[in-house]
Amino acid sequence: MSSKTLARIAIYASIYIVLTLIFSAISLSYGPIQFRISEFLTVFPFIDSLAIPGLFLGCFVANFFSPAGWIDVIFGSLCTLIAGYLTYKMPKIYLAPLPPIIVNALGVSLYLHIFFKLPYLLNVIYIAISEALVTYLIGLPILVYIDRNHYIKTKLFGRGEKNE
Amino acid sequence: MEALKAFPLGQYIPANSFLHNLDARSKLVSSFWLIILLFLLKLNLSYLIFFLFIILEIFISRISLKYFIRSLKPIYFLVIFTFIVHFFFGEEGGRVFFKYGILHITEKGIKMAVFMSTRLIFLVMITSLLTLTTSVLDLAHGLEDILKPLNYINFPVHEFSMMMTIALRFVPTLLEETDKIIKAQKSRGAEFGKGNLLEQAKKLLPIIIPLFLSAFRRAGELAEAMEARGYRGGRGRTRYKKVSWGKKENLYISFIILLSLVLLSL
Repeated sequence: MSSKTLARIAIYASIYIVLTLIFSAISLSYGPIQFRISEFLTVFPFIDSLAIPGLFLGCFVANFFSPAGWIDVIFGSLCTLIAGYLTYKMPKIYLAPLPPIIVNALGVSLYLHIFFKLPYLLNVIYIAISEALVTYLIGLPILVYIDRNHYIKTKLFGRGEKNE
Repeated sequence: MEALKAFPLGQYIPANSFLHNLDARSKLVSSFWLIILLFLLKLNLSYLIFFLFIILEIFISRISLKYFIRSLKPIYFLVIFTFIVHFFFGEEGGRVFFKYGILHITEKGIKMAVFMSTRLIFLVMITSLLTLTTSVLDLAHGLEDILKPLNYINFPVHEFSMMMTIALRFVPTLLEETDKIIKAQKSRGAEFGKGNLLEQAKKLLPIIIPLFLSAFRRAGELAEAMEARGYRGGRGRTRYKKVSWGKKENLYISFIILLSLVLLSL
């Protein structure tokens, strides 16, 4: 793994942690009734594969400070990892937010149900709505904006650098 | 932004206590096991002993109780939600106190409500005991040591811990950067926190894009700096702080094992 790759993955993780923390003070970032703004980053694997390990790591660290602790650390970040990989594989940009919505709604509710006996279906619906709002309202517009703006895209992901 | 100053990361409270001085590995392993143990316990005497054990740990950590109570703040709602769900809609069984449509209050339901909501509180306490007494850097190093066996299945353990450390190191930097960007956009006439959800979402764009640009610029600089200083992966790398597993850790782990045996046999 090159230093550049390492640094970029770490920065993705850092951005995720920072956004989770900023908004955890304002809104609810943890628990089933959550509205984690930083989740909009889950659309990024669509344009940059390094975001997959980056988000996994960010979620891993951010969840260390989640009340559910270890449970969230392990299962929550695994959900993010799976969702990240699936987003990377999505064929169309407007489908990029779907994996995080589906994986988190089904997965997170499952372990909340197993560990806290919380109603499964209710959580599926709630998490799906909150994820859909965050990814489609915030994530997708940002993704489309970056994807269409060649200058920013080159600056961020270094694509086309060799041709210049 | 006041919220930035009160961010909960680095909850670490330095003090000189038995728990603070323990090797991070022993605390990581024991807190992980305590959470598994918590889910194995039933609502009986063992649950009470577990509760007393947590009180004891809080006491020997020499950290003011107010920090533990503060760490419960993000889950007030979750605790109440869990309690209500089990109290009114929980399992039916035992004496029935009240029944109306799908609402029902039963003996079993009340027990489950208390059990599940206190379990959540205990969970937070165990996690807080770890994060309040261990600095994030120690946590990252401890985790690297524990995960070392994963090297055999080609999981990049050193890189994982290195990235975790870098990510944590950049949290304050990026928080400051975000604050600067928000102020810069405000001085150009941006208004945050107003309008409906869609309008608010749109306003995040002029924060996120500059944040990404500056963060990735920093990532590039960092990679260059690392290479300039001869970073070449985990092999042969030494640490500034040496960790040591000694009598204290053995004592602590033995106590946890003994406690678990007693609790599980009850």
